[in-house]
Amino acid sequence: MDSQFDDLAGLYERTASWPFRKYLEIPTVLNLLGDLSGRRVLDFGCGTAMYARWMKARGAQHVVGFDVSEGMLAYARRRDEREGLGLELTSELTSAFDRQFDLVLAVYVLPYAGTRDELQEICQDMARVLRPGGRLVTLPIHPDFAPAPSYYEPYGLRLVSDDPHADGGIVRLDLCQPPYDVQVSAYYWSADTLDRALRFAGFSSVIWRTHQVSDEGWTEMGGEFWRRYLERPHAAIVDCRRG
Amino acid sequence: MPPLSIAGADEGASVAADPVVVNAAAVGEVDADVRMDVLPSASALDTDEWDALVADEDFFHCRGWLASLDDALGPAEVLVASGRGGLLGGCALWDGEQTSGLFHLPDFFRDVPGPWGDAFLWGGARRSTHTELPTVPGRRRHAVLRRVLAAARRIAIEKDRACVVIAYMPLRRALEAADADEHACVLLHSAEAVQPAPAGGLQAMLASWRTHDRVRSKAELAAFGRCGNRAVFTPVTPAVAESAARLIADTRAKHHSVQGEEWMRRIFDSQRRSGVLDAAVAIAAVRADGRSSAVCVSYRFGRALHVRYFGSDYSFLDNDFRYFVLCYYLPVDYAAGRGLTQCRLATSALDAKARRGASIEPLAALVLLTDRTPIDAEAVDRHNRRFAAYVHQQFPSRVSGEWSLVAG
Repeated sequence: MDSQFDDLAGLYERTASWPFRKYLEIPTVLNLLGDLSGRRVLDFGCGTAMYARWMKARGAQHVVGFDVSEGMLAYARRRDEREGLGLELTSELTSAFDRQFDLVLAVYVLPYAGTRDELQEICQDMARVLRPGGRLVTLPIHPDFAPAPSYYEPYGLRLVSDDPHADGGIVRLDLCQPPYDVQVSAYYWSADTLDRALRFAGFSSVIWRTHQVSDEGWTEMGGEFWRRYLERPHAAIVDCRRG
Repeated sequence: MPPLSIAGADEGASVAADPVVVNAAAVGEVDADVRMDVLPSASALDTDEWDALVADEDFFHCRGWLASLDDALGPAEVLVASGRGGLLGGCALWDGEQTSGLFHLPDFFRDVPGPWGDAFLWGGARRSTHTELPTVPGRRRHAVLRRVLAAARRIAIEKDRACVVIAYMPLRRALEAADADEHACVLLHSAEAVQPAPAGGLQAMLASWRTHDRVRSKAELAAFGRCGNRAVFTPVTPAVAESAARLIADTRAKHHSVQGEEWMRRIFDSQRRSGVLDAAVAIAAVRADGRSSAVCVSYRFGRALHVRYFGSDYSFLDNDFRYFVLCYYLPVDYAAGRGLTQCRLATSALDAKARRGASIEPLAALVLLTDRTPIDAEAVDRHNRRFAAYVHQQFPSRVSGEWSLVAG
């Protein structure tokens, strides 16, 4: 299946060094995941599998990376071959994966559901591969993201929408940290819609978490840089349990 | 008939090309979507980003292999296409060879009128007998191929070459590329042997064969052991490389190659520095006294195992089928044991490999004349049909389905 991400693997990998990811998103997510020793983990929408690699390095017993973008998976596979981490990388989430995982991590996946049906389908896919009691951590577009497109430019992003907080509305995501300038199409889903889709899929608890800036981040970028972002984060972090 | 090698040991030698000076600014271009540049060597490529564009079958285009050639033979340029999100495609460049052999166009197409005696710009890794065009998958693939070929033609013009040739392309890939450039033509000129590696390894492969073939191969394997050989699988450590260089040089000397032990040592040293030797496995035939009678060196890339070098000490009687055991039977076992799905057996000794179950796949040259003079389409069609018919005649039950793309 062709994907708008097929030709963005190099860029996606490099976003890990952008300050908002390096000092805020990534440490927040990894701290939230905690000890992964012995866990079976799925990186749902893994892209270049950066989180998959980190989760494996943090002790996860088995890590599967799933993505529909062949371009992203090609990068992930080559890197895994070189580093020998032994990830399992797949473009198909077959029924063989049902109830196989203790944890599903889905970073920037839900914003690419274009309809309510697609949103529900993705949530159900995330639920069916988890064992009962398993955990999902996912990062959608923040329901209260700042509507001014330039608000996130200091962080290398623009979120452009004609109707910023309309359920199912298109949000153009510009990745504009020089030298990059790339647009991808995403969709906005309200907190209520996301909560209902997740609960309908079988998640009994849905908790919205807050970002934490790393100590290094405060030192490197300064308080003002983070104050603006933390007031109106562009992404949310949702922590769910399958019933 | 063009030079289709059907006998003899694998040859993998390289000859240093004359350094080529390109004014990157003159051939470079920028537009809204794709930027074309010429890098002075593969060392400027990001390993993971470039290798993600390289197919499993196109190992000799990976950054590690290209960098090892640069290290051993001097730098060669790489044409790259970049988008606003990163690398999109590209192709290594070199000059071909001026002497008769595997990389000398006048030997290829004697029945098709063309400027085959002129100087060309070659695409692909130096002396690779399998070349594809590394390209991003998905919706931009066709446009990127078009831009890469157009840029290669401009570079050829800049260098006063008669055409661009990318030889030893899998036929399907050559036709895909030709579809992106209306002036390109595709000419069959070789074939390669490929052995699928079933999950059950060598035993599963043998079990799937006819009784006659199975009995013969088991006899060959038995002879290998009966002659006092023991197979050893090992990474290519410095000590293994030293021994392999000597054995490979012996085999090359037998086939009148001037590239001796020192040459192979240099090649392995360069591969170690580039990191590509980490992907290599040596399968050695070891005698009771610990001496190696033969070695095969192969490289893992994705889910393919690329069999590249064979060397043998001919002071040991050569009646133990060591070539087939090391270069054919045991690589299948090795590949299957590591989840690989195919062994790429190159273009030599096709007859013997086909008789041991290998599939024979078509290789073609993609040719783009710099002055856009059309090559006689009827002559091309006639040549391709004749070539395909010849291969069908040689390997009647072993030709892959891809041949039907031209056989008609």
